[in-house]
Amino acid sequence: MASEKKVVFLRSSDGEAFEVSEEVISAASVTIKGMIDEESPSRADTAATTTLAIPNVTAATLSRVLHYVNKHFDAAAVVGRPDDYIFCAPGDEHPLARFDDDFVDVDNDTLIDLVHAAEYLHIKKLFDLTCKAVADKLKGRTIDQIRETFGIVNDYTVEEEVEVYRENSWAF
Amino acid sequence: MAPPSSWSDIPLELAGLVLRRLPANVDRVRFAAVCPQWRAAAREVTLPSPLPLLALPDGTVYSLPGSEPLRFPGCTGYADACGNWLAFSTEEGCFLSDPFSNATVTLPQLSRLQAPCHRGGRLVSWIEIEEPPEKLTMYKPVFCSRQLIAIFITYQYSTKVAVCQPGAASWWSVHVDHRFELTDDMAFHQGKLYILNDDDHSLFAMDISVDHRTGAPWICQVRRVISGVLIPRPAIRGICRNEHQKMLYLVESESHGTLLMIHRKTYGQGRIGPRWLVAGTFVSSGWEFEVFMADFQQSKWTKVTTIGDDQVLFLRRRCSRFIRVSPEDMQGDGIIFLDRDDEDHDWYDHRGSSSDSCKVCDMRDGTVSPFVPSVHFERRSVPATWLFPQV
Repeated sequence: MASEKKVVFLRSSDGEAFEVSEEVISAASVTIKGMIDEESPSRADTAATTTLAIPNVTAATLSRVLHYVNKHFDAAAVVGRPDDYIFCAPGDEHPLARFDDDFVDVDNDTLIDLVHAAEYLHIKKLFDLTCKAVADKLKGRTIDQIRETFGIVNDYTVEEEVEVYRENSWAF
Repeated sequence: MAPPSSWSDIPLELAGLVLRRLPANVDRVRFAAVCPQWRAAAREVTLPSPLPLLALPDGTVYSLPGSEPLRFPGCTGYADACGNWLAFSTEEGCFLSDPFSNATVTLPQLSRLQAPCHRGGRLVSWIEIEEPPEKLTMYKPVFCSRQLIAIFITYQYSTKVAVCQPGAASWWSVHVDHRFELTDDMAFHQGKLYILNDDDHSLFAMDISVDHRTGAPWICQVRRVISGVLIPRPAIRGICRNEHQKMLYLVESESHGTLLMIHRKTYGQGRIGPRWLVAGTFVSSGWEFEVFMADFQQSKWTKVTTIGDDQVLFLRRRCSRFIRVSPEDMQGDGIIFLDRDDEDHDWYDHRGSSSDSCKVCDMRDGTVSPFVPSVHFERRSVPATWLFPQV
């Protein structure tokens, strides 16, 4: 029996709706799976398509996240090992390593939006991937370089600054 | 909830995950210094141990795995190291210092060493040894408890195990009917001080307590827990090829739940005199490591072939430690060691090179390769050391 693949619509904070397979997004996002499960009793007897509001994620970011999710799901389907493959740990030798590297090779504003989206949507491997990307931007940088890279204003008081320096002068 | 607009307001979970992905201590310290929010976040999260610093006695440090040299004035001039503590022996006195926290512990002068005086086989009193300070050297400070520190003191060509309380006026020499060697190692494990004898691989366990009335530490019990096997010394004359020099290390391993003995063999060529290798003639060319686990039930050393895929051992005489590593940062099951950490041996021919480096031995196949990224440093009379920041 051919069953039509169920889809859901995700509405971004700025009002744009994105179509995604229910199977795919449920496997990827704990948060959305929870939303779908809550909705399902009321959906059973209607043919209406579900639209879920994602108030914390903009269209630009949501589109990137869905690109990531679909790409990983498709790759998993090819090898037929969805569970251990879809969202394998960043750094693992897998065919999507290159895709993942390129995916997080973005400016810092985009990166932090992805971090927050991955956290909110509870897509663990995307969260790990973005954390790794943040860590890689920190490695080997001096404190001033880190502040510059991430646009962080040094708002220590003079006393705090002296204390921070005294504690860690070797690392400055 | 709108996403924070600034990187300074990163979620705590993110801070923890990012910090976890920074194995180099210097990166963690810098993270924590960027802004008050990151500083607060770094204090909240519990992290696995970072990789150690490689410290040189001139105050240069390398925060592994990176290779950029940093100045750490608090490390300048150490005599020896153990864990997060550096030992200093100056004209003003001896002390331990944790360069990260700036905590210091005053130690008695090495010349204030009280040794038990025996008459007719019975301990009658303690006498003070009057040795000129320059003839005494201390090695391997070990905290047995907050109130008890053990150390090796060498004098008159022999080594004593001495104990003291922080700030005490004198050391108490631990008397065992055994003459320790400079090459011995010790470790504190499950409430006992263990001493590994270099000659025959025997292991002694000591229970040390403090007499609360007099403040003097005393030995409740000394037992030989693993009997050794005598290892024959090389007895070849002339030019010796493919000879090896032996070094032993004693390290506590949490994952094995016991003590491990590391047997390092440095192969090379040297000239053998009537009894022993002629000083200044040995050129090393290869290394081999064997690891043994202390089996206290059966009183023997059991050979192990792996130290675990998720661990590496940073090996240095009297200052070794296992560190958990993530496969993304560093390959596990390896021993990372220094070309030379046997400063009291004058075997080596220094004419070739005056620089040392770190190497790594892969336990899975025994191959030795340079540690990457490579760190080269000038050879000095006090060897480089690992410095393990306290988490």
